[in-house]
Amino acid sequence: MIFLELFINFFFIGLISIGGGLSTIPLMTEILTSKGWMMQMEILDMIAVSEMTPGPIGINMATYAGNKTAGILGGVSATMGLIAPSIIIIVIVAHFYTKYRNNVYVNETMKIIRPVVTGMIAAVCAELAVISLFNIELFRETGLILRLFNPIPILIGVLVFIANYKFKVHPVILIVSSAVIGIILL
Amino acid sequence: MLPMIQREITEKHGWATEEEVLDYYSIGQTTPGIIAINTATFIGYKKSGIAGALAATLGMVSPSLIIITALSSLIIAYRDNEYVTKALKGIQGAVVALVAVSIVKMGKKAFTAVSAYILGILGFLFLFVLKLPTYAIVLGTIIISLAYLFITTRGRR
Repeated sequence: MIFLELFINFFFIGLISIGGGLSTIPLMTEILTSKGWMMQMEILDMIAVSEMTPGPIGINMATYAGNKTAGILGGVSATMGLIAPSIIIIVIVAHFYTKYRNNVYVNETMKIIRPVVTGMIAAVCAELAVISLFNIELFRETGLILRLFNPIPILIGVLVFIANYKFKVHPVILIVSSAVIGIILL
Repeated sequence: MLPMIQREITEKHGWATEEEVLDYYSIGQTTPGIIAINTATFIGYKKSGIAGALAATLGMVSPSLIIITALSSLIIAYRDNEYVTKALKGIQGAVVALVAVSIVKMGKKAFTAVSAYILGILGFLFLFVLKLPTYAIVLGTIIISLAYLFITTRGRR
């Protein structure tokens, strides 16, 4: 049954994703594409919608992916699957949390996991950049270096990076303006 | 997310002290799963047991469920529309850039030493070049680091 399958897979994602932020992205991308639930291009749609709506991005992505795969109940199954490990683990940890917080193994392991996970997210980001900003097939056909680049998405990417990182422009504004630019120029 | 949780929980409702919320949040960062969810579960559980944990967590995911369900059905229904396709194409570059910004921000916290940079590069290569399964990289990292810590701390005693 698809709902159970979604629940189990997202339970696994919730269990393996440590380090906060976008740490759910690598495993979620891997599972969604290998199961054939989403294509890589659709992963970008999923992140876009999840970035521009309120709520934790991991939860938003799970709801979106579940919805895409099996409708409303699919969204609920995926989301419940993602949060179930949190509930179980926190309820256990809450009983000895001062010990847990000061545990050397936990704290030192986190220092090792965080950079690894950051590198893994960068790997997924690089893969998504390759499929969205570059045109490898067109380059192979024509052999022209200039054909390799998708100039407008690359330009949008550079501008958005600067606007968000330097000037703290809100993602919603950036995503909506990019959509408008896309409609006009692409 | 944290300032909002603090305002609601500490100032408005007095369900936990500011110090407790910070504790829960820092533990939420080290346990598996979404940090906001872990923190909410923790606060709910401390306040009123398992029922409290479930209530707080379900409260936290409800807005996402409602908003995303509505938005995604729209996008899925109109995915083949010419304008939607163009808009989504325009968004793609923006999404890659926003993820890149998040990575830079995460990197500032994570890359605190030369060894951390090396670990980050390894994580990148394991996934991007070697295409190892994600879970294998994460679990392998945990096992190796625990073994390393076990050996080094035992040697010190």
